[in-house]
Amino acid sequence: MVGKKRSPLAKGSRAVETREPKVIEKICVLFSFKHLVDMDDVGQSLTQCHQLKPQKSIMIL
Amino acid sequence: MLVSFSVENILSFKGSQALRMEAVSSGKDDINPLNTFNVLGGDHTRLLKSALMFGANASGKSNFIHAMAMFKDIVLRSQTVLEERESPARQVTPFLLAKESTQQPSAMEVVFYEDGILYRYGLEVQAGRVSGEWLYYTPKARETMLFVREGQEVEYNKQGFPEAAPFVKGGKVQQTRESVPFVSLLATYNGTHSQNLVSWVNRLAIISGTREQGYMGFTIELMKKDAEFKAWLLKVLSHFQIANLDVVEVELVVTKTVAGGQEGLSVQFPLAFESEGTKKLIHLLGPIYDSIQNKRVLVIDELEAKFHSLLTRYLFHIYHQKNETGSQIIAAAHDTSLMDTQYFRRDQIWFVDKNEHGSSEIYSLVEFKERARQLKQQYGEDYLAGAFGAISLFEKFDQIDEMM
Repeated sequence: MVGKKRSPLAKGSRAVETREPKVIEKICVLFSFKHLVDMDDVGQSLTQCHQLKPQKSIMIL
Repeated sequence: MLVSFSVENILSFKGSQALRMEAVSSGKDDINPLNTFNVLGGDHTRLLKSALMFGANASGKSNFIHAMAMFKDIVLRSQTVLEERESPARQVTPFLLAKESTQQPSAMEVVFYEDGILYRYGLEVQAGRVSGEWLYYTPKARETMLFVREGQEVEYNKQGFPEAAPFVKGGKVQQTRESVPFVSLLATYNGTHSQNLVSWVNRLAIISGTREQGYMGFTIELMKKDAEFKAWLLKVLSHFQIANLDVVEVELVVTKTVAGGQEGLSVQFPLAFESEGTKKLIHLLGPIYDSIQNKRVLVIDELEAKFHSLLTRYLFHIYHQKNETGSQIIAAAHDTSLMDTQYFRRDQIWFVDKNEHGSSEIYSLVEFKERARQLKQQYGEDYLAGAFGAISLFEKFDQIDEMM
């Protein structure tokens, strides 16, 4: 229909803080069995794990 | 001054999507005052001087810029094109990944200030025809219709838009082909509001950041005829040890002063000997200066190609400082170090991403919740980690390894 009000394509005012950022959580899980792995290897793995800058580190001994 | 540019059902955009230049006023985001300017009157009290669009390759950044270019072309060129098959409206392609979209019109709408008046103008195009067109303005507080066209039928505001009267008969537009916007016809007869629209669209400049040769000639010409531009250019270039720049025949010749060692030694050589970044900076400063002088909206695709991060920041720093006229820059960028609140506000940072249906969406960093009391300085790392979407299609490097 001619003369029908054309609503703006960009409606309302600008949205502020309406979206949740995706939570990207890095978890480094380190499994170690004392009787199988040398403790030096554990230390080295732990260093590598920290280099990944995880939010959480879990160490299962 | 641009307030917003919206698209719907065009190229990779299915639903309505908009890039908005209104500055948000929420407390913690209201930083970097030099990055905004005040608008007298109207609802939009402050607008942004610049906006950056980020997104993965093929997300739709260039499509958005392409839509702006098509809009400009349709408004400015349709009236003068004689062959219908070459009409600019024929360039418009709807979203092709949904059957229903291919049968519907594509829409583009711009909200802008010109001559102190707030306008809203939109176009709907289908199969090379202007199937809808509308122009509204806000003289005081309330938006008022100037005209609305559906196909060849039109209704107009007799008091506010008398320029349409000679070209409307029996509720139909006259002397206007189906592929031509009504405003394009009216502007050729010097209609006040249609002239304001065409004048604004004419000052919308779209350039590519990867093909600076395209505007090298423009910058050389500007240097020749505008002493003020040359002085400004040399002031900026002094930070790059460039003391002088001359046009010799058609080539730019750089004079470089060597600091330390052989003090006072000046060497002249062609600009071709300079780094790619310096060459691009010199060529780009022409359109940037021109956009400030002529209150243009300058849209740059791949802005920072060949630029060091610090150079891009420097460029925007001088632009935000110098630009008092109402000029604006919209740039598609990849350099995530620009997501820095020391230089930009969150409302200046935009993302373009495709949803699961392959349709592009536009949203801003300011739309994301920031739970900390104060903003972070850098958001680039969060972006690359996927917090805001709009990142590469390859979520895991293993996928690339499998392809190799």
